[in-house]
Amino acid sequence: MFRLICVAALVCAGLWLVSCNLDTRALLQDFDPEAGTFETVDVRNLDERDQPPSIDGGTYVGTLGPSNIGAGLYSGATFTIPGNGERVCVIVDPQSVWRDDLQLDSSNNEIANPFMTDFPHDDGDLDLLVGLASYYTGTPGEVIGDFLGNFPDSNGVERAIDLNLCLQEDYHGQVGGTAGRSTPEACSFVTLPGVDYRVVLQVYSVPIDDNELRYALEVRSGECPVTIDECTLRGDADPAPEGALPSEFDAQDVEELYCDSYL
Amino acid sequence: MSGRILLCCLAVLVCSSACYEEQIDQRNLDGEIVLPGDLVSDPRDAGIIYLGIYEGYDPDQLGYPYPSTGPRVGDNPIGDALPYGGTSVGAYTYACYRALRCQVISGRYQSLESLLETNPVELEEELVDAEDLYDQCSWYYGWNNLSEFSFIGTGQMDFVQDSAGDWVAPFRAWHTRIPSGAVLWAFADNDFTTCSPDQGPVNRRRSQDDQYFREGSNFNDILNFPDKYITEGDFVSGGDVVIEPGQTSGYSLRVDYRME
Repeated sequence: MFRLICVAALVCAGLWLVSCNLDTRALLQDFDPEAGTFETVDVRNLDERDQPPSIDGGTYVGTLGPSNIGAGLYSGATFTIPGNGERVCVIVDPQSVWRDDLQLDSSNNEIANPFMTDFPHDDGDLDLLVGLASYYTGTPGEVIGDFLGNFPDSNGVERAIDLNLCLQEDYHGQVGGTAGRSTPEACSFVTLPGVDYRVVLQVYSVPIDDNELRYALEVRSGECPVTIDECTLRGDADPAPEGALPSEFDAQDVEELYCDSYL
Repeated sequence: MSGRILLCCLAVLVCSSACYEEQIDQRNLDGEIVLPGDLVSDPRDAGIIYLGIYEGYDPDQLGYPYPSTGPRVGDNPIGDALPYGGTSVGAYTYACYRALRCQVISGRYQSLESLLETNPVELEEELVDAEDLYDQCSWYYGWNNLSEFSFIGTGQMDFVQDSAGDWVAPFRAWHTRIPSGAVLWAFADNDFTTCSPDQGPVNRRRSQDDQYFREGSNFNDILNFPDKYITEGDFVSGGDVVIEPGQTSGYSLRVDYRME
């Protein structure tokens, strides 16, 4: 009798487990739920474009696919700028997503969002690195890398050092910070004349609505602006669906609506 | 029979695992910090002592005793000193009043009176006394006895005065690489530059007093970039203590150079 109860309990537990959706792939940013497959990492060499980003060359708008963070495989883009002996500022603004169908109520349930207030967890996050091109550990167009290096010190101990020149301060004013989702990242650094510098955009997360991260990028001469916000660079928003925005403002996307109509 | 043999084999395996030498480079390093008596009359006046194990000395780079550094990267004013490891003597502690945030260090006070003597607190134009501080801490932390006060007590003092009049405190740098040729270097932050008031635990009584603040804590790159935090009046170790091969204890480091 006892064995029968045990077998019945095991069968019930098995049925219960089978009935649960244990497929955690949906939580991964590189999983395409419609196709049921994983996307390969998207590494782009912007130097091969007809009009690659350049110093004072205006705003460059591009898109990138998702990273496979767990495997350490990053999507991203790289390009090269020649040093001119002057200070150069790099700004990148990852996509903010405003949807008319998603916000959280006080109980953290997803509900309709008639005001298109921002839902921060679906925005894109792009990390910015810059360094001497010769120190770059990745391969443009193939593999995203960084500027981590090693050297043996005078005591014979192998030491690691980060040669990333793009030093950003965190909330506490400490060097080494990165901005979060949808927040622009920027840094400036002094260049050596005639030396190539590699700029690296590393995808940390993509918007969950279409698994594609749109970004706006600019390289400027001199120091970075004191204030950098969503409206400093334009073009990092997807066009809004027909009828989603109030027609009286004639805006194509929420960024345009926000920056041109309300500010 | 075969079960007994299996059990014996298992026992041998379990016992032999304790003999396995992991060849880990990291060791604990023990020693003492010495504050000269002619520089410090009372250890309550000395800030947290930060001690690091570094590749070497480079007193020429900044004009005062300083560890050697890695290359300067980007806009950093100086290179990363890349410590192998380190520790501190004392830690910032929140002494129940916001006015004392980033002002009180553990291991320096025998009593509440002793703390208020060097850190007077004025509240509504009146000086806080020991009883007020006790009540405030009882409310803030829920302590009911002086023995619970983590920053007060004769048994918790870091420094003792030796026969020569110097103040001596033991230290242990946990799990650090200690290659021969490395040096010990330390500084005392006497004006609390190393404390960030915007870090550390959030106000534990926020739900009651409806105030959001943090209790204060160290910045996280103090041993990497000590020069950012060393200011006039701080003490720096001016001597040369070199790590000897295989020696993990018995080191004595004098912090005897006053920054002008």
